[in-house]
Amino acid sequence: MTPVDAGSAARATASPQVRVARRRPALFAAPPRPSSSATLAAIAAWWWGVARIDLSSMSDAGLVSVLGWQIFAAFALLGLGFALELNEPRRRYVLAAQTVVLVVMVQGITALAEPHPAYFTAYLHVGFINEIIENGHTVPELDARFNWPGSFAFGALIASSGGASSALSLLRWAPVVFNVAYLAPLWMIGRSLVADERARWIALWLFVAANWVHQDYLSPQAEAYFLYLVVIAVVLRHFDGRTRPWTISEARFVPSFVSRPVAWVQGLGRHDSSHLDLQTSTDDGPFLLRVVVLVVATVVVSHQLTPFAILLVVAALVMAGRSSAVHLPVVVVVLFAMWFSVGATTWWISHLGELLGDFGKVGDNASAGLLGRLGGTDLRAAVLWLRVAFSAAMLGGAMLVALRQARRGAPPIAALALFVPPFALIGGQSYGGEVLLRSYLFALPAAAVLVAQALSRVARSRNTRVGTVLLASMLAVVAVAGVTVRFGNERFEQVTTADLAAVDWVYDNVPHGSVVIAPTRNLPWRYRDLTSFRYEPVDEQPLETVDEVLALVPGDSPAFMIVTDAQQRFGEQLAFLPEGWLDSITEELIDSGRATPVFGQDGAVVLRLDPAPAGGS
Amino acid sequence: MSASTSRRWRAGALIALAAVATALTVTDLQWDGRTLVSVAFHLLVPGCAVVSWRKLDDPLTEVTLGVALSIAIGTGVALAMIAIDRWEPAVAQVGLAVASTPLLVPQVRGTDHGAGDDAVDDADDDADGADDSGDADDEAGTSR
Repeated sequence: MTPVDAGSAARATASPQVRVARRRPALFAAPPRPSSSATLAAIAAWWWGVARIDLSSMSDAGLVSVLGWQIFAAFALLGLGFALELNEPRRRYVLAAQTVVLVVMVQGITALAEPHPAYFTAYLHVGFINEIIENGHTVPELDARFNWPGSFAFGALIASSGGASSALSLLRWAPVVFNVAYLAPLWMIGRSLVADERARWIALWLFVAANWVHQDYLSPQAEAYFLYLVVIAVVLRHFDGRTRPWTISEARFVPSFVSRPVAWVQGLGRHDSSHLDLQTSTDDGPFLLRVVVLVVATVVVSHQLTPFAILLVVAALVMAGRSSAVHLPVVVVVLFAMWFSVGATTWWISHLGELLGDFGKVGDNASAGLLGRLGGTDLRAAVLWLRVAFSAAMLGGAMLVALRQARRGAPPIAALALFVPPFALIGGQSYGGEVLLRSYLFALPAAAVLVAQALSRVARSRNTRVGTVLLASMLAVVAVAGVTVRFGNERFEQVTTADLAAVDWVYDNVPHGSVVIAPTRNLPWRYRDLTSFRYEPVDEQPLETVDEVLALVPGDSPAFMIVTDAQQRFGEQLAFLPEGWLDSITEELIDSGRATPVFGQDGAVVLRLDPAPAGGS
Repeated sequence: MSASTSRRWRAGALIALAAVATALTVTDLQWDGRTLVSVAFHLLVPGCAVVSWRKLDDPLTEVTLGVALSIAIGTGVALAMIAIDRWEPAVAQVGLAVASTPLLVPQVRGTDHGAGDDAVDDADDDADGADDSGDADDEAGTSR
């Protein structure tokens, strides 16, 4: 029996008075325990390391190339403190604090080290929010995302009722806030899936480290993901299939080739799960179901993809006999259909081909998100392959644990109902080449719980000291790997002061209605005056030649092009353009006599592009 | 601290947060921390006020669901203002605070009678131990 288990057993027999006494540790009366000391040392080392980061020396490997030994030591110390704490009975508040510290140490590095919040798309989302703040309306025809404005509207409500004229102030710490928020529903999911409390804590650590797909910036998907986790957590805990068992035999007109395998799976899932913490009281059921429906409705009006993930998972839980909320999948479909046919018509009427074009192309959609992204310099390729290996290890490890449990006669049906269905999204859409990453993210909670059981078992299989060191080492390696892959794009995704100065110069000096050009989308623009300028290009392909640039210049007024080092690196690393491609275009434009530099600062330049002379091309 | 006392403190903190947010909005005080207060208000107050009235047996579920419901309420209010072309965020915030407070005041005074009273009191001394039941059986592995 492990110390955690021993503590649980002891608690089960202790008197209430004893339990109350144990819940009140004398925080300052006793010397700090090794786990607390290691955690404090980790925080100090991390702070020291962050203060010494020199962003200017970053290589194509991303943020990891400028991290000093202090940061790596910090993760080792925190991993050690966490592993030591897992051996202590009844100190959940310390484990919870350590998990929050991990979130800050992973997600907060760039928030503190970089002069401005990173990632160009986040600035566009600020632009959507600011449009609502300034004008009180959305512009559905401007962008597909504005047809699902729930999250932007909520952001605008928060920012403007907080007295802010822009949502820019929400950008910097959004990833930390979102990842801390994810912990609570993740814990609820963990305790509905696994009885081993140590595994639940390890699962939280794994999730924080393995959530590298960068969907936690200020975005609708980050908010929708929190709501996704809440829906799953409530369904698992409060609508366990045992309270109102539903079997496929209750459904009419279902052919036997469908009903038989479903009935078999439901039979597997109806084993006794009394060892888990499931709330089977039906008193709160109607209230909770109403809340869940409201939450699903919020997701439906906020994000395009997440409702499908919710639908797949809640339907799988019903099919597996692990959810009594049998009508919830239907409610999700109805809500989505209602919004799609009323609220999002502006977009889908003109994009139906785009919407349905990828349907069923599983191979193409998957490769668009995987093979299409591999390439670039050696260092860049190494980081990308590390992403593949890290993700494959998480998913493969989860499958192996599931298979091992199945061989022992206890298939983890509920965990598999969370883990497998999100990958069905790959058959529907490429989602701009990101559907594989999104599927991974939706499957990650279950994968983390499954892999955590294996790590917990490995740590327990040796004596306490060896097991603790082994577990601490694994946790530290996973955290460092997570930081490496999470910030692998940082060399071109970070926003410099010069980048923002160039964009601001345009907003302050260029007449409204002008054409503003960026050779790639990797620019922190459009965070204000969203409808006051004509932004080009609107698609995701970089402008690779001078002719492509000049074709965007109107015949009767100048256009303005913003050129930054980050865009050049973006083109080199993501579009595999030749080294120095943007410098070449800039020089050619100036040599042509059509372009004049009107602003310049540390690698950021604004060019005024004049119309073609009369009779010229 | 008993669960009922803890509930009182939580309700009191939410009322205080609503009061501060309302005061900042009404006075239109320009202060760096105002955005933070607004974030906390909109993520916690409306939803937690509704969920706490129901008195679920698990504080973690209550707060998590409260945050989710706050997002849902805030999103609904914001979209409604857009739909009717009346963008009045300050009015919305004050309105939400005013609507939430009557749900919270009885909890501070201990005069509310929401569902789950008995269950909460029974679980009084095990407030953070709602998931202890299965720890002894960790060999059972993942739920099936």
